[in-house]
Amino acid sequence: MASPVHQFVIQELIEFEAVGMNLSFTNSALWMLLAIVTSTVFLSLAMRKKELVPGRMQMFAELIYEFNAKMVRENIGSKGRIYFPFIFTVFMFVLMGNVLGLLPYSFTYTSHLAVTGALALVVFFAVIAFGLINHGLKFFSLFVPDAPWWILPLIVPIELISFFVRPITLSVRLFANMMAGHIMLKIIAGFAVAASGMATWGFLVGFAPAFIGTLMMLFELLVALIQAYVFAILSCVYLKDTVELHH
Amino acid sequence: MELEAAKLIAGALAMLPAFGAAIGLGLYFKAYAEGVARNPQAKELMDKNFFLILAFIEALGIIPIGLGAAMLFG
Repeated sequence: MASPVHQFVIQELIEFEAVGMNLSFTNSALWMLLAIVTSTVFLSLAMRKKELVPGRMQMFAELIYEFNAKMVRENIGSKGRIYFPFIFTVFMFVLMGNVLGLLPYSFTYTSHLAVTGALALVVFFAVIAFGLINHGLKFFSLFVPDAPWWILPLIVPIELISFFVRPITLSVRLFANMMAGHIMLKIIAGFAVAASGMATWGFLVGFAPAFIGTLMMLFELLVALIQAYVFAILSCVYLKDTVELHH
Repeated sequence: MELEAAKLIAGALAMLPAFGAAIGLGLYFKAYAEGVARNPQAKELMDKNFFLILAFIEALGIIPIGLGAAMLFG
């Protein structure tokens, strides 16, 4: 029986060498493609008719849109509208990655630190870039709160550390949630298989872990949705500093 | 101490912080339930960041589990 970590192995589907790098098309890239295709097809199909009284699909698409729009409006304010497409894309990408990853025999690309790290770094450098563009050097006043001067030598390093730890926590949170969740699912499934193979009547014993497995699957679906939401809302909160400096 | 034994011990030890996260989640839901019981109007305000705080507490618990699993099976 494959070890629980076997599901995270990346297999190259189409070998492709270029510029000395291994740019082969892997199952991770395949599932990213699937995630993008399903979300674009679903959203364009849903918004095809644009009726005033929305049908079921259109209502679901509007639900996703409203959910993100409210999140951006609340956390970045009206000036944050320019970030809405970015936040919506990040949300859909992470959401589709997590949800598609729950399908059997699928591959969860968000369970790799490389992918979540890349997403977190994109947000991190976007914050720095937009912060410098909008506020120039005043952006660094972010690290100097209006505290009495004698306490600044203590506060500034803390602000700096908390700023630079953001991409780390952002990426490791999503990565660890997805990886640990899937490992747990695989282990429980392993129990079900082992229990049912134990004795002649072991077939009935196998139902207990299988039942727990379905509960865990539901819990994993909840974790998938929450992690996508948290990744998006934290990106909003981090992007808020680029719109207006709070001190 | 062979590497294998050390890896197993490290993996097991790395998963202990989940104990704290479980307590944290319990306390958070207790505070949430009490808050709503005391003042039902505040429910809407408390729901605003409900999932965000939930994810923070769970993150503190699941990051060590993730690293522990990485060590165990890594």
